[in-house]
Amino acid sequence: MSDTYTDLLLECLVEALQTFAFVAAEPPQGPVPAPAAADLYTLRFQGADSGELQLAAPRAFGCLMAANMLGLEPADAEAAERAQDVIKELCNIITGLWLSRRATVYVPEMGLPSASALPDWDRFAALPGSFTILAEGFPLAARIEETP
Amino acid sequence: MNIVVNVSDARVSKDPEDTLVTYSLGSCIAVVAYDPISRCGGLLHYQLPTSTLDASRAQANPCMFADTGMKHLLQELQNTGANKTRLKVKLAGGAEMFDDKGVFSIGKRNHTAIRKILWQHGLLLSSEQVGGSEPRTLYLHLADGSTIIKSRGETIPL
Amino acid sequence: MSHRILIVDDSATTRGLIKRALQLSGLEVAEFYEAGHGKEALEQLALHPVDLVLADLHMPVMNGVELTHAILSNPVTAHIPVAIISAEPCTNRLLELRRAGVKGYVRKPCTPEMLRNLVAPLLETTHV
Repeated sequence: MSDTYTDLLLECLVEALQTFAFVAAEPPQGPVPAPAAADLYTLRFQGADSGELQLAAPRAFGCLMAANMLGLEPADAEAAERAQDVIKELCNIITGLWLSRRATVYVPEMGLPSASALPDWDRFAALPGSFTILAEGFPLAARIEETP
Repeated sequence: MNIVVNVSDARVSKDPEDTLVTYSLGSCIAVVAYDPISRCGGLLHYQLPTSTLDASRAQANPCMFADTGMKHLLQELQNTGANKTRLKVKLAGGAEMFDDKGVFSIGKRNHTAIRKILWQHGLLLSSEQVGGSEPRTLYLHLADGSTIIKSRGETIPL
Repeated sequence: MSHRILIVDDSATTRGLIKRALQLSGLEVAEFYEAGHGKEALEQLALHPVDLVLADLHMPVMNGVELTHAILSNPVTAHIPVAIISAEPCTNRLLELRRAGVKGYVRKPCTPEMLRNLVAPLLETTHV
């Protein structure tokens, strides 16, 4: 994945967080410790080129995002219920933005997001093309896996 | 009468002869809020997104930050007779001045912070003019709540 | 005049955000109905009269394109305005839906104000 496409992914992630979820983002100021419990979210796209967005996020971050969007407190039960749902929606939005902003003639079709437990955050964060940001203190790591 | 709102400051008025004005909005954000029934209006000019960055400074000057500043502005407006549910709210500023942080710029973070606070308060924006790289001057006319921006020699209603 | 809006999105949080944005917009909405995909939406439409459908596109079971065509091709529901709120990246796909009769669209990520600005004019043109 080219640096340009990775930079574009960063731009789309931050814009999605700011616009849809009222979440501010910052670059990390040094090594970021792996969160205690995290999930890996994925969303495939297929067409003239194919691949998959991969986003790693702590479970607690989903509570914060859901609370922001619904006008609740992060400790509210409804925010916890919506934690995975909202990060899947974030993946949907990031992928749509990223695909729309690449200069390609044929825009791939998007699939639906899915989530699974992430056992090794450090390994994911070290994959080629992966970057980490801090979203209101929570680390998020993202990359695009291209499919040949 | 022109009432100047400085950086990290807020002013409120219900005198129809008054105009609230704030200058040199760069990465800072100005919030104007006007109740068209009571004709109370206010202007907050803040610099930073959240008071958790410096709690002691927020204590000394709440208007430096979006969260404490907005709380102060809403309180002052209510003390002057405004009804929060009737407020027309507008924003200006949040430019990227000499900031090479791009997507992480302080202007963008200031903008995100105030949008979250307004959403939490149940207030939607009537209009906004944010971003870019030029400073702005903002005027709120208390006679009718009209808001004007001056930037790059142009005058634009907000 | 009070309106009834059906919000169709597989994200419950997004449905909640859309609902809150429209409640805060000062629009006269008496009732919000919700559905997680197109099939649920058609079931809701069979139960309740609705003045506006706001639909996502990428959903399981029945997506928003299929739902839109089902609504607009049924004489019982063809009069209901449909607007799209989606992360769909391809502008041509959105324009095709406009040509098919969709009344407007907003791309995610969208702000509450963008949702208000999409819905307000559509409610002005509806009547029960």
